[in-house]
Formats: sequence, structure tokens, C-alpha cells
Amino acid sequence: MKLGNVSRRKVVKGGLLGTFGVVGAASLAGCGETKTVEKIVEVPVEKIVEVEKIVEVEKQLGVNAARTDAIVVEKVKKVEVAASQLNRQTVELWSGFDPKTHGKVGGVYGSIIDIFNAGNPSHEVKHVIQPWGQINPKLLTSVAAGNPPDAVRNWYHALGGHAEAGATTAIDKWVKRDAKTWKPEDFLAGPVAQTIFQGKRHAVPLSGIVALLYTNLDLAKEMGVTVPANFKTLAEAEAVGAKLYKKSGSKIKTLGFSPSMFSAPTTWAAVWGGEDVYDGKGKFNASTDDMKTLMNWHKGYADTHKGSELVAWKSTYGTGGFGRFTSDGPLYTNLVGMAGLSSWWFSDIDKQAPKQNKQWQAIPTSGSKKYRTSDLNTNVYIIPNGAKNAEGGWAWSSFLTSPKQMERKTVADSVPAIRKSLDTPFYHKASPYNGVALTDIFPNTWKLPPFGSYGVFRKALGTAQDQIYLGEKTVDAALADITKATQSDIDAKAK
Amino acid sequence: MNTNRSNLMWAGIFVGPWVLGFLLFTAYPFFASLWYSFTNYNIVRDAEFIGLYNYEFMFFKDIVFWVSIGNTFYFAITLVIFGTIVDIFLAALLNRKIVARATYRLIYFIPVLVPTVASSLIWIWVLNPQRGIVNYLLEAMGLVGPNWLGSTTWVKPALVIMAIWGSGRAIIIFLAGLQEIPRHLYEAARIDGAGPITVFRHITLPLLTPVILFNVVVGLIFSFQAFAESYIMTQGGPANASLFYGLNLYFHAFENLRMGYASALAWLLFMIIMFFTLVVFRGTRRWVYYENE
Repeated sequence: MKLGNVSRRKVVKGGLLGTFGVVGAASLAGCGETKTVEKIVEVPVEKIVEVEKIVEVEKQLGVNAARTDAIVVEKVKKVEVAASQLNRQTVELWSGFDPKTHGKVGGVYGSIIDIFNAGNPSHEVKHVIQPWGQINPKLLTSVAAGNPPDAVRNWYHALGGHAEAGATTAIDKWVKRDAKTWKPEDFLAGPVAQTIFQGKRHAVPLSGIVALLYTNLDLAKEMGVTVPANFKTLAEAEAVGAKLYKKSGSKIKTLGFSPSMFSAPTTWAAVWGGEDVYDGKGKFNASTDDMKTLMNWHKGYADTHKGSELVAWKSTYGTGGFGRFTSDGPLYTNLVGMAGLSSWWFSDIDKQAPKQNKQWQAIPTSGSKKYRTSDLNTNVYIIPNGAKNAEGGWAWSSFLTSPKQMERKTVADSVPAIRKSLDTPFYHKASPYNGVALTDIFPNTWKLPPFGSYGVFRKALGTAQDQIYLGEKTVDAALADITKATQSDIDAKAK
Repeated sequence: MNTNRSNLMWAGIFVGPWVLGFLLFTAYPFFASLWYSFTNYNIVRDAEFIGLYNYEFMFFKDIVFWVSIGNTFYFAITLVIFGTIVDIFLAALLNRKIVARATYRLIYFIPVLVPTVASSLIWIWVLNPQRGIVNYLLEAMGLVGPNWLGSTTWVKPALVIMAIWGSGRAIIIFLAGLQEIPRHLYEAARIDGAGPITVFRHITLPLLTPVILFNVVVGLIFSFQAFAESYIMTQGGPANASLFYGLNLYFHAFENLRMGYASALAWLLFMIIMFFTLVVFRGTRRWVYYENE
């Protein structure tokens, strides 16, 4: 019965292994339930499993898919069935990666869980798919109720609040213990910095979301506009945008370039050198010279294009509406297109628009001395406070963020936080924007440390941007509001 | 005596589950939230008593508190006034003997059955300034449609219009009220030579006032708690123009993890709703007519 269940689960998960699974299960059932760890060690588990799983991953990625070997598949299945007999602890893992709805990354994620389960003698991951929007509220209530999962896929923007609230476990003890196999120095500096809250590591960095500039060269050519190769200044990007705008009849619907084109208002704050707003110790001040320059830049657009029109544009396309974040997005908007590196759009754009000529580059410099290529939002894994199998949570998190698994997963998703994984021929081939991320973006991102009032800051910044567009506040008043909202919140939480 | 005891026991058995549920899931959270409103509480850690700080923060440090109060009052008053007028008008139309009356009634009630998330997403498209059907139709009539959800001027009227679109439940209640009005009063008025407006003013409206009272009170309570539409459609924007009280409360509770402060906001909202409900009830003697009084 138990073996039958295992077979069925694996069939659903692995698909092609079904037939052999039934055979393997039947033979094991005949032998009685005497399989042990030694059995796994006998067979070169990791090698076989990994070869097979690589084939699966590569098949999903459309790369080198012809290596399926029925014999290997059979062995893998037997080993997996044997592994299921071990007395392993369950690792309850929460993420939103549903294979049915998450394209390549969903499938790859499931494969990596299978690899972990096949090769780990102590822990077995049970993946609980949670809607992304519900993960944080459910996480907090589960911690409060004393029944949290063991590992949760999370984000930088929420980490400060969670750590401040006491919902996360500091992972320093495991990092110290496993220093030979999991090394913080392997990771990029930015993502690592964003996992440290008040001097302690509260998360495992997985990948980094940064923004970059994408140009649809075909569209520009069609419009009779020449785009300079890898232009270096924001002024050049704006000049391209202005030409596109003019060629399309100067309609706000086809703006060419918009200062509201990013969903995250913090992106421009990074580009305009706004990183001094928070000192990392509880003092917040948005009224810096660089932030004033940023807001005046927004105001300049409002003065030229009418702020209400900019807000109208933002409400139509601002959060990816009307297919903006597709390869055809620039056709709707006539924009020099932009999006975050983690977007599936970037992973799948070659599939969507294989013949399109495009250009990837860092957002060019605004001229500020503190210019950063982008803000940074690190994707992380956290081990909730009170997790029953925290050790298993760490085992999974450190396994997933090992260079090999990182390469597998993030090739279909976002940019891995490990330099080694970024800088491989495989990854370079699979992710055309990878080189840009590695050389031009990550070395110079805005590494705002996690803090509990980040959400308030970000919301206040977005509101200030709207208020500037609509002429409802002066630059100074809008910045003062950001400071008051954020600092008050910091103070209230410290009360 | 035995019978009484037996009745009491059975009453307890039948009512008990409800009472238990009420105590656990309504009464306890209700009073617990009052305690939490005087604490710094983030769900995970134990609550720390901070006196009246949350209330002080609300009035003097939360820069969007007064904005959210203003937005909510605008929404509540506009929706209750215009919603009531439109609902009575539509109910009166649906009360007439017209062809396919049942179908029309169904059509007006269907929006009530549509989940808020679905209807909100549909309205985002309907009201889109550049690709929405409303502005398309206005343009066809030679008018320039506003940027409904992206304008600080139009976003609240847009949400009011959407709320009125979904008020089929109130229409049905008004319709029931209209059908309760005795026919002989209309007949007598007609014999006396009263026209439709006079009949409506002196018969329909007075006899409908208990129903109006009910819908106004329910409408006030509903509109002061407005949340889902602005959360889904605008996230409170642009420039906080649709940041309703409930949305600000939600943000502090579930995104900013300040449950203590959110509890304080909830208690103030409770008092505001209680105050306006009492004001409406106090005024009923002047304008509500009960036939049996």
C-alpha cells in the first residue's frame, strides 16, 4: 500500500517514470520493507539521479534533450522507492511555484525537489503550493500559532518586517557549521547584504531582482529611430524615447519613455543616488539633495506631458497591464521597454519572440555621483521561528542555493545570487541578459538593508511620485511626507 | 416544571453551538482587539502595553489617517445618497408591469452574485482611460472621458458608480417594500386626481421610508468599511485619493504588522459607524412612517 502510494506520487511528479515505478514498487513489495540507507549507498544514487534529473531539466529547457536512458530511469525509480522507506523527517516547504501555472520554472522547481528527496537520507521535502499573495499572512499566523512550515520562499521587501517581528530564525549557526559546503563568499555582495538584519543572517539568498533596460531594436527601426548600442546615459535613453514619441504622433498613449515605467518607485531612487535615505540604524531622511533631483526630474516630465496623462499611462501599463511585460509590450506602449530581471518575460522572451532584435543593458547613468544601476530585491528562503524541522529547512535552503541547483532553477527564473552560477557557459547561453547582470548591474546595485518600515517607505515614495505628477505637493513637501511616514513608523515599532 | 426544564435543556442544546461560536469568534476577538489597541502587537511577539500611543499616532503622526477619513466620508455619503436615489428609481421601474419584468429583475441582481474580485477586475478594464469601453462610448458621443481610476478627481466617483452597479440587493429590498404598499391607496389617490409625482411623493415615498431607513443604515455600515474594490483596483491611489479607512487599516495590520495600531483604527471605525447609525435612528421620528403606528 505504501509502495503503491509512492509510485503514484512519483508518476504524477515525474511523468515518464511511471511504468518503471510500478515494476520497482512491485518487486520491492515482494521483498518486504527491509530497504535501508545502505541500499541507497550501494547504488550510486546521486550520480544516477542527477543524470536523470539533468535530462529532465534540460528537456524542459529544450536543451540537449536526447539523453533519456530507460535503464537509468529504472534504476532511479528503484532508488527513489527505496529512499521512501527511510525514516526521514518531513520538511514542509512553502512556495508559489505551481508547475501548472509557472511555466519552465515550475517544472524545474519540482525536479529539484525530486533530486533532493532522492538523495537526502534525513529529510524529505513536502512542497505546499501557496498563492504568492497569501504566503506572508499565512506565515505570520502560522508562526504565531506555533505551527509554521520549515522553509518558506520569501522576499527582501518583507524580510525586515518578518525579522523585526520575530518570525524568522537566524541561520548563523548552520552557516558556521557547514562552512565547507555553503559559503557566503560564493554569493554576490548585494543579495548577501540584504539577508542580514541587525547583524544576523535571517535568510538564505537565492536570487536577485534588479531592473534593466530592454530595447526592442526592431520596433525602433520600424519607427525610423536609431538606437545607439549600449548607451551610457539616461539622457540618451530619453532622447530615443522622445524620437519614438514624436514619430508616433506625440500621443501620450505611446510615450516613448516614461519615468513611471517601473512598477517599483525605488528603482529610480537608486538610479538618482537616493541610497542615503536610511542609515540602517533607525534614522530615515528622504529630503536629500539626490532625492530632490529625482523628484524634480519627475516634475519635469509632468510639466512637459501633463502629469494627469502620466498617471493615466501608469494606471494603464504601470503594473504590467495590457501585456506590457511581454515581448510585444513595447508595441503597445512604444516604450523603450523595461522590467525586472526576475520576470518570466525575460526567461521566455526568446521563445515568445525568437526573431526579435533586442538590446539588454543596465539603466544608464543619471549623472549622480551615487548612481546605482538598480535597486535590488533579493529573493530569499527563510526558516520560520518555531519550525519543527528547522534543520530540514536549512538542508533544503542550502541545497537549493548550492551552485549546481541554483544554476538549474534560476536559468528558468531569476538571476542567481551566486557568481559561480551566473558565470557559466550554460547559463550565458540560456539567459541572454546574464552577461549584463553579471558585469554591469550587480556590481553596482542599491543594497538597502532590510528594515521593518520598508513597505511604508516604498508606499510613501509611490504616493509622492503621484503627487508630484499631479501637482498636489511641492517636491520639498512630498519628500517631507515620506520622511515623516517612514520615521514615525520606525519609531512606533521601536516603542 | 419538568417540561420547562426539558425545554430549557433543548433550547440550550440548539442555541449552544451558536453561542459558543459567537463567544469564540466574535465576542472574544471584539474585546481582545480593544485590549490590543493599547498595545504594540505584531502577531508573533507578545503584546506590549503602550497606553494611548496608538491613538496619539493615529491623530498626529499617521500622515494618511485624515486623508483616509476624508475619502471614506466622501464615498459613504455619496454612495448612500445617490445609491438610494438610483435604487428606488430602478425598483420603481422594475415594479411596473412591463414585458420581461422577471428578466430585468434578474439582470439587476446578477452583479450581486459576481465575486468582488472578478467584478473589480472587469471594472478596471471597463474604466480604463485608453482602452476601456466607457471612454470608448463617451468618445463616440464626442466627449472626452476622464482618467477614471488614475485621477484624484474621478477615482472616488468611479468607485461609487461601481458600487451602485452592484446594489441589486438593495433594489430587491426596495422592490419588496413597494409591493407591500396597499393598492387601494393608489386607487384612492387616482380617483382624487393625483398625478404620478404626487402619488410618488405622498404615498410611495412615505410608505417606503422604513425600507429606506434599513437600506441607509446598511449602506452606511457597508460604505464605511469599503475595502476590496480600492484594494484590487487602485491600491489606494493615485496619490492616496482612494485610500479608504479600511484599506489603511488593512495595510497597517497585514502588510506593516502593526496589529495594535490596526486595532485602534478598527475601534475608531466602530465608533464612527455607531455614531452615524445613532444619528440616523435619532432622526427617524421626523421622516420614517410606520403604517401601524
